[in-house]
Amino acid sequence: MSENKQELQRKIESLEVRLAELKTRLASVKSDEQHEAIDHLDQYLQEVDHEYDDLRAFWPVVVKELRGLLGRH
Amino acid sequence: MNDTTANAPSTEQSNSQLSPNAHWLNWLKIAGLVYFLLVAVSIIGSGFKLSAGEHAKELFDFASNPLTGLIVGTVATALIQSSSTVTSIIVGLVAGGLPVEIAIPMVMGANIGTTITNTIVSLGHVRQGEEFRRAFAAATVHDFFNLVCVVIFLPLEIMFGMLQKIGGYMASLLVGADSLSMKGVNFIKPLIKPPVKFIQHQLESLTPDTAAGIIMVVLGIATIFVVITLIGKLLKSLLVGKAKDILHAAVGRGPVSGIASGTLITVLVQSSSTTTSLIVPLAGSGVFSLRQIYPFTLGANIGTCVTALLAATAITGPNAVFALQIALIHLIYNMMGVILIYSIPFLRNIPLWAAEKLANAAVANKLYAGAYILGVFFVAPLVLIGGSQLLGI
Repeated sequence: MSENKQELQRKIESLEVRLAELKTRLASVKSDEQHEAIDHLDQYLQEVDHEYDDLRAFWPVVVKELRGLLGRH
Repeated sequence: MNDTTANAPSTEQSNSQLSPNAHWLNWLKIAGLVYFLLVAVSIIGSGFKLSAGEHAKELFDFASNPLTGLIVGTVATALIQSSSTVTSIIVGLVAGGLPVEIAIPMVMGANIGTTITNTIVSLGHVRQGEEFRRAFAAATVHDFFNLVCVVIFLPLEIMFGMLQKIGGYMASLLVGADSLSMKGVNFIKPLIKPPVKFIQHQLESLTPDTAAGIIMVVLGIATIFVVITLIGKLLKSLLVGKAKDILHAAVGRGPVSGIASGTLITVLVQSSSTTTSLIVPLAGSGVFSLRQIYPFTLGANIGTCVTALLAATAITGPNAVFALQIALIHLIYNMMGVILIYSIPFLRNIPLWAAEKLANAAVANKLYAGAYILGVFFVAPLVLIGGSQLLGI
């Protein structure tokens, strides 16, 4: 019984170490993705200057949903 | 966006695309534009004084109700899409005699109004379901933060005049009780006054004082709008590399670093809406979470105060202290808002919760997104103004 308990504890510790490793790797992958995204800041800055295009893209979607809503009633 | 930096893959490349001469020329242009900004603020102050005389307070009686002032600031900024422009205009008007207590809610409203830009930018993702949800939440978290800020600080201001007192104390410490003019040190006045006086004399020779004053105010407002737009465009092209460096340095360093980087980038590009719009695609792609971009957004609120402070340096004479006071109030309000709301978990989570709920609703039905923008920035303000006028509040 005691051996079983020690075995379980050892397994948990081993899993915890593995989990910590995986969490570190995930954080590193996420961080790399974020740095890569930041490298494309120029493109994002361009997007900021096109608010009216964004509104134009939004308008037909709203009109379609509004028509759907009015059509149902 | 300037062609010279478009699609540059790295900081070094984006900087190297500008020749040294072009680089310096752009900085000279910015220096010239800052000069025009200062002249424009001074023109508004002189024009408002000329047209309103001793009746500046009566002229803005309609905005003596703090709610109306708040709404005027919100709608004006939502229409112009630049809080820097509106706060600089407010600084000019205060220099011309607009009472500080009327200007405070307007400045608070400018904070709310400026958030419309990044919300519109997020609408560009409307056809990508999950991406739209993340982008819309990233945009509206700024709106909800500013609304919470107003809900906390406007009643405190009405009851105790807290911001006015702190701003007044700090302004008097910085410039002395009478004026910004520090004898012998004031180099702004000889640079700014000659063109302002020239324009004033020309207009006075053509039209009566009141009309000349009104023309000056309109001219000043138009100049500020154009100048801040041009400064923003030039700074974006010149400092995109620096902005990248700041963001790279902030990755994985926690919220304080996020707030600091948001502040710095906004100071560099002189536009909070540019900073908050930048993070919309970053959050939309899912690379940054809502919680990660939230502090960065708050930094934009602090960084945007630099323009009004800069505008206040253009003012000389007895009202200079009030111009500086309103600029400092803008800064104090935004700093206190960030410190108070972000440091209390319950308050900190309200904007996150509200933004996520609204984004979920907007993904399910895009009409919510449209209704939200129209409602918060235009319909609700007009209904509130109409209601308060009808009720005589």
